[in-house]
Amino acid sequence: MPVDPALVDPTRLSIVSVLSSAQWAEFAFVRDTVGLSDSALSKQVSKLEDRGYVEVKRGHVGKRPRTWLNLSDAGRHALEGHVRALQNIVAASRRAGEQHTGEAPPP
Amino acid sequence: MTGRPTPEQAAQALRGAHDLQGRALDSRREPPLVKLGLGLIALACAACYDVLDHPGQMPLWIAVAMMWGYILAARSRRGAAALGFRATGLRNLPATYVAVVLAACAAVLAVSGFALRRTEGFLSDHVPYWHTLGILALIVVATALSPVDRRLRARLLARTQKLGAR
Repeated sequence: MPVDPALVDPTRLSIVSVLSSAQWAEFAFVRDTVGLSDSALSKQVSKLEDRGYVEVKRGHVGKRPRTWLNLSDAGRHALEGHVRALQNIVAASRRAGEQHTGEAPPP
Repeated sequence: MTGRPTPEQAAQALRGAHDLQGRALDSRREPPLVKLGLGLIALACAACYDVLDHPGQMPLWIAVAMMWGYILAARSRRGAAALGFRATGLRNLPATYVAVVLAACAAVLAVSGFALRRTEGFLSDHVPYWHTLGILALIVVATALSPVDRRLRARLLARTQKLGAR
């Protein structure tokens, strides 16, 4: 399985990783956990939303406006596939390293 | 990072992703006011059985209804936000953690139920306010076990991630 081009960016991978741990997460929670500014997170979320990886809901609790983010099923599958692809890269590198060290040194 | 990541970049990305998942799971805690509210409700219901002559089942049903309302509210976006939670629901919990917690809860319920049936007569005759004191003891035990629970969750999550990252 190839790596997902949208998730190769470390910031976007961080966002979907945080969202994968909750059903709905507040925008501020994701911002604080990932360590981004409001505008930077907003920009990345828009890109993920365009791809259908993240759902965004806006509302009010009392008089305070809130924004919630959710990792969609497509986003979840993309993250799983991307993680598997990264694991394959690491595993292939390890195998290559083991074969290299296992070869007999030239006389 | 552009195109296909190198093995080092891939390993670093996996570590970062797992670390953030762990941090997000670890940061899910009941807000202090919610804990206080739940504790007070439980204490008030227990006190009804100690203070009132014939309380019947009403305090128990009120407590169950309020706990049920809390669970439902904590699962909805707006309800969770009103209660002070910053995220709803937990995903990616290690299966071993869920199994351990369920087994521990079942064991505690079974043992306390059995002990309560055996000692109910003695307690009501010799220990004043035993319902309230019992609930107070449960609250103290639950508070003391809270950090243990978080540590167990973090440890099992770290173990699962090590296996998954191989």
